[in-house]
Amino acid sequence: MSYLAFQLKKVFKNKLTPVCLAILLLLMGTVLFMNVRTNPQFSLQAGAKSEIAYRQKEINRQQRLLKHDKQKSKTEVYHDTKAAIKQNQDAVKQDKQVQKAANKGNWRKAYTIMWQQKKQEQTISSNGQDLAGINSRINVEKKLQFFNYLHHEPLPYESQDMPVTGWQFLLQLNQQYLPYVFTLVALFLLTLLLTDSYHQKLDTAQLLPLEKNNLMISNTIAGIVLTLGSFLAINLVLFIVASLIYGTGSLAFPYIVGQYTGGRPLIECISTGSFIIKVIVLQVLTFIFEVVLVQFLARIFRDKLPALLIAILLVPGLNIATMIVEPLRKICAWLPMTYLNAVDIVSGNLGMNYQNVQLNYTSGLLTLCCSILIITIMILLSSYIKYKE
Amino acid sequence: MLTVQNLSLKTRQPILHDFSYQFAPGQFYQIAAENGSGKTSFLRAVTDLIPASSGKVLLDGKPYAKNKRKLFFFESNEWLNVNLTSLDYLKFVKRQWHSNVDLDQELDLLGVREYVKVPIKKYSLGMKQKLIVAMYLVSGAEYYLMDEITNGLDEESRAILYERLNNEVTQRNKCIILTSHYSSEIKVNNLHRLVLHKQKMHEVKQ
Repeated sequence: MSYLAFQLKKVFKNKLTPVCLAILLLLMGTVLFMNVRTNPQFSLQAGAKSEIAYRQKEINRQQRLLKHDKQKSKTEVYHDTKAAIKQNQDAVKQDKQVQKAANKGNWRKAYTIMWQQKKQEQTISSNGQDLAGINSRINVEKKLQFFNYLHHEPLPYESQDMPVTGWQFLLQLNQQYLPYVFTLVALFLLTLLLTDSYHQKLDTAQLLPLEKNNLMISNTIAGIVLTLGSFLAINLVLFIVASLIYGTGSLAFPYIVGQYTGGRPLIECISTGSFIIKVIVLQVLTFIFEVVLVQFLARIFRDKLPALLIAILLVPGLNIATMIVEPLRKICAWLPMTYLNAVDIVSGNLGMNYQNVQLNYTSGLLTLCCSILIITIMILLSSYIKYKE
Repeated sequence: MLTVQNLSLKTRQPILHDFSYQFAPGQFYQIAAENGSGKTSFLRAVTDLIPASSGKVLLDGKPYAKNKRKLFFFESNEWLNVNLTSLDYLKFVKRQWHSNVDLDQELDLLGVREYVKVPIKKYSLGMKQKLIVAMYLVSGAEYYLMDEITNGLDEESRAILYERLNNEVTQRNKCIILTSHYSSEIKVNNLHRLVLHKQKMHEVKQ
């Protein structure tokens, strides 16, 4: 039995591995269940319906105002209110058309109306100058780009707020939950595996008649198989479950991406398919980084608990610290821990939130590759120094 | 030949001072000392697990790090991963030490066959020790460094073990260095007794 096979046996025969993965699956399954329950309220029709209700309420309120101010029929306020009622009535008409078209599956018509509505909203919101105005303009711009894409490619609507279709649900999991929860589980399992050969701070693996580099490579491969295998297993199970209930969804469905260029947000829509590939690349690099980091910490501390504690403080700890500590945001593009949330990096959400132009897919590749290389060299150096002793 | 040259060891306190000796193939060496006097540390130093203060150890003329396949050392049952089975360990040791020993035959010596596929977490102390003995034999290494290997073994198993170790020494020309509390019961050929006392280790006449 090779050393790699031996290490993998340790992983697969450890009951904590399936227990941790089962807990994760249960948690993520609950998210899917909640999404399935609330998804009907987030369909295009439901959106139009609530918009109609809101507009109708506004119309009633404005009509009451008109009745009240009948004697001031010549005033500017009166005319403005009348114009607003007309505008709301038009909007209600459009929303009813959206509802009807969506019910009939005439997506092109529904999306065209939505796109026109968002265009009008953009014209209105572009007058806002304050900070709230900027955020609102970004939101309108996102919606505008989203419906512009769908207006040209009328795919059945998939909610991205409470996603239930396979691909969209995977993206939500990998954006909101897995980057943090799975990282904790991965660091725990990696620490168990990579500190297993240390007893009373002695590295018993060095008694094996193997080259030091061979040991390191086998440990790294075993760690990658563990993290990547677990990650793929969780994603695959949840993808299959979601797809069985609501279908896989379309890989051509748009995903909003953006970046900060020259102090201004630049928003566009790309297909989910092309987006997912970049996310996977970044995610795999993140796992390799975690494996080499834990291996390095195991060599330094030669004990499970200190290695695990420092790994948690360094990886999810520093990632969360970046959200809170403002100065860290300026340098976070060069910290490998920033890239835990590959979806937010590739979509540019994090870059826009932190207003950091450097925080993007390319710098993620560069930072993670360099970090992996540097830590690997440090592991090799530590072996060399030990050998010299 | 396992050559120890002017070896000095110090952990929290001095353990060994300027020890030189040659452990030859086909000989059995028993190291006896009081608890905590440094028998295990000596074995660890020979295998580079802990650094020596001074001196060096050569295995057939080379440093241990360059000749690892010739020596087998598994200090304690605490080193075993309890999720694995005896078969996992024995197959692994056989492959890593490039051994041509018949694994199937070794399973019968102390009865490891009965629980070879059972996870180690279900073993008693004696069962774990028997597995470690089987690992030594399956390794086919030329030098065995055994640290209180008979701990937890019953009288009958200890007798079988010593008989087998005697064969290893006399028929297969192995060099066995063993630390043990049960000093009087070791009855093997080519036996040398070394005593570690007050940082000095020396051979005593029987």
